[in-house]
Amino acid sequence: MNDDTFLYAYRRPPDPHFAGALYRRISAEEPRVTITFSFSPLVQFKRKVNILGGALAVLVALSPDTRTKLWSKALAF
Amino acid sequence: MNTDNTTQTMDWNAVYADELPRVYNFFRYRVYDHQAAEDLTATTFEKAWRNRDRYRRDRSGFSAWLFTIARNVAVDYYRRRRADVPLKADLPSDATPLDEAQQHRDDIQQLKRLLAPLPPRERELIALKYGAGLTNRAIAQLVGLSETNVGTILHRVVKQLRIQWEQEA
Repeated sequence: MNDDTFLYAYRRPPDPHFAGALYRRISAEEPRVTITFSFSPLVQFKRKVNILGGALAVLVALSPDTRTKLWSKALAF
Repeated sequence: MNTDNTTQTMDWNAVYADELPRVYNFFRYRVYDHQAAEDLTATTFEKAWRNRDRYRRDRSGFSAWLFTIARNVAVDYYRRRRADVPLKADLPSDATPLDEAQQHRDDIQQLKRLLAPLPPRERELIALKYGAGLTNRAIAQLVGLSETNVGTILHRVVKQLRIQWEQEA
């Protein structure tokens, strides 16, 4: 026996049943899904402007005055 | 085991296959008890798996991270026990021929006598080197010593153990 070979005497592969059971136990844990949105400030600004613009368009389209004008044009045809 | 977006570059199956024997044998050399080694190995992997999204770097660094967890698990174990557990001689598997089995038992008993009186720091270095199979550099990074220092300590301890081993043989 040369050098430090004797020090490996206590090494042993893990029991396959233990290895398999541990693997299954860990695998069975529910993966935690973390959804993170990380838009740049410019993109965030554009998104807000788009949302505001959309909301404004809906408001204008649904206003009584606009509806009256649209109906009168439609009936004229 | 490769579902998490933060560790999508990590092949968890390969990591498990590579690291399980190293962590398990680290604990065998650290606590000298087969059942405790299995329990502590399981605790280490469960902690690593639960906190895997904290780890985002390379595969080699992962091993160091895992052994940091393993060392803390060992510290907790000894804190709970408040005393070292004597080394138990595990019975060899049934597949081992009788003569080899007896020789293996003798070797383990002899190693037990030699390792038991070592101070905790030297026993941990032996566990990391001969149980986990880490390099001196990796051990140095883990325990916060220089690589030279680790090499010097291990050289001295191994030399002393080898003399005792040959005397008892």
